[in-house]
Amino acid sequence: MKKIFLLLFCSVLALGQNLALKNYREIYFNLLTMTNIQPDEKLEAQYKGLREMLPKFGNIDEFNGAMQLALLQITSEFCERRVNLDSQVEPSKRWLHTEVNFSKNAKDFTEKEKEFLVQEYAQIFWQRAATESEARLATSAFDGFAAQGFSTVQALVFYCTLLATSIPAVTI
Amino acid sequence: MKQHLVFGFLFFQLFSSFPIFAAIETQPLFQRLAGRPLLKTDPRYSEIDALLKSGKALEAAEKISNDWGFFHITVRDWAAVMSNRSELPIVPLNDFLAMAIGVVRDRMDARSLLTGNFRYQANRGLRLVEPHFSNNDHYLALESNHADLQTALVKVEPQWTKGFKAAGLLTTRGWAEAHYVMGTNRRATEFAFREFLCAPIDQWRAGGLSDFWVRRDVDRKPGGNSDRYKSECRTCHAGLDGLTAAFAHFDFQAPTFYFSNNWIAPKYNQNKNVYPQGFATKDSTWINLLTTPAHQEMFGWRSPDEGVGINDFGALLANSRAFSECMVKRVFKKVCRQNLGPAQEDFLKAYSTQFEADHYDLRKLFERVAIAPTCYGE
Repeated sequence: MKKIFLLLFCSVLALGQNLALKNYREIYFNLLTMTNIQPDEKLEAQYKGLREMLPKFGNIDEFNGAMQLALLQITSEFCERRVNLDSQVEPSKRWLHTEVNFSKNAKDFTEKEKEFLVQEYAQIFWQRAATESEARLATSAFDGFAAQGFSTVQALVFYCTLLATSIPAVTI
Repeated sequence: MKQHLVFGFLFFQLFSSFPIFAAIETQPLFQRLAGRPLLKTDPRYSEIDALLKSGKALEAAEKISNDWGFFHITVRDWAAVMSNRSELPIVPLNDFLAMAIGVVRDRMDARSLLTGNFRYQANRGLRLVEPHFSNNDHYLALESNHADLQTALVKVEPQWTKGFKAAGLLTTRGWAEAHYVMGTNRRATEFAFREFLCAPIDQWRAGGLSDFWVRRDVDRKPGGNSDRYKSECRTCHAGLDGLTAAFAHFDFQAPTFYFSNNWIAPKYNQNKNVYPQGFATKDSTWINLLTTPAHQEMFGWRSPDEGVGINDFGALLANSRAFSECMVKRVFKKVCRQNLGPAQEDFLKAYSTQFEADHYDLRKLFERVAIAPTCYGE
């Protein structure tokens, strides 16, 4: 509860700081750039099906439940593809997750590995480093996914989606 | 004492992270102009960063405006909201959007958006079906091909047929589909003012103007009450009907855009028995009655008050001060994500003047606005 409150507090501050949301087109092309996923017909169809629910103009008052659901849906598709692609190649050939040992259970990730991961995600999705408090909150969310018994790939998809749909990622 | 410390700490925490007090940074500038992020691994990152750090912000913005995203994301959305009746950005690519993107890309005089006799289409090497006034297939194919609009679009003259008097966006099929369809073509005038002068009709309707040009389809005694006509209907129709003859040669009946210099669209003389003594449109001669001191202050006209046809009408709008100011407002809204308010009147005036001094170069306007401290809340 305390964590949710903190997260909300940070979000409200971020909303005050950033005047606008990325609009539907920016969200899509930002995800393409950030995850380095090549669009295919399926992804495009999914985007076209969801874009009416994403912010059209990027006004703050377009931030609502339907928009968040659509954002989660399109972002999770990108994250799933990125995590799966990275899990199949050696670390030096990965776009992200360069320090992740995919054969290791998410529960067993060391603090150092988790810290590296959150900073890697922050640099990509927020275009800046995560602050200490942001990193702490994000890591505890990852621990939560890991504790649920999800596979490493699944936990990373959730984690990637969480950070890529957070306020710093969707605001300008 | 303790309270002051706490307050000071909170103030620092809240405001120290606000970008409004910082110099322009690479990432926010790139995101605002190109609509997408620039990864630090991209070689352009260090180049742009170095330009910004050495105080060459405009050069940095110029470099960013070469990015694919500037045309596909930012300019496209910027133009799209002007292209349709609902003013929504989610619309298929069409000749209206292609022309706006092309004019920005080529740093053309923005007034040609309302006066030019050209269109932008895919280069013929892409082997797409030719643009046609009866369908949008060419642009749909261009879009579905994922063609890079920055390189694929080429300027073609004339816009339609030889001898046709074009007026840039106003004679695109996209605009026709939005505003010449059904109705009386008055909507075309209303929206031309709304989109290109940022002047909704409620701002410029006025009493006391001559109603000589009000057409025959307007009831002078609605509900048997002539006062209502004078106090309501006439305030819009006097100015509107005087100008709408400019569009007399145009109609849109899905899916075809109809035009001819020797033809008056039947809609101009429909319902002529409502008030047979009203104005009968015989040609495309128009008159601008919105020339009262209040209107002159609002629009800053610099063209004759009368003209013939849509090209003269486009020139009336494009040469006005309101056009320059409207372009600044629209670019600011797109890039800075906020409306220019009364407090930024000086900014509006300065940037409109600069826009004109830059030969109405919209791309330069995007670049200048994106590096303006006002864009970041200062």
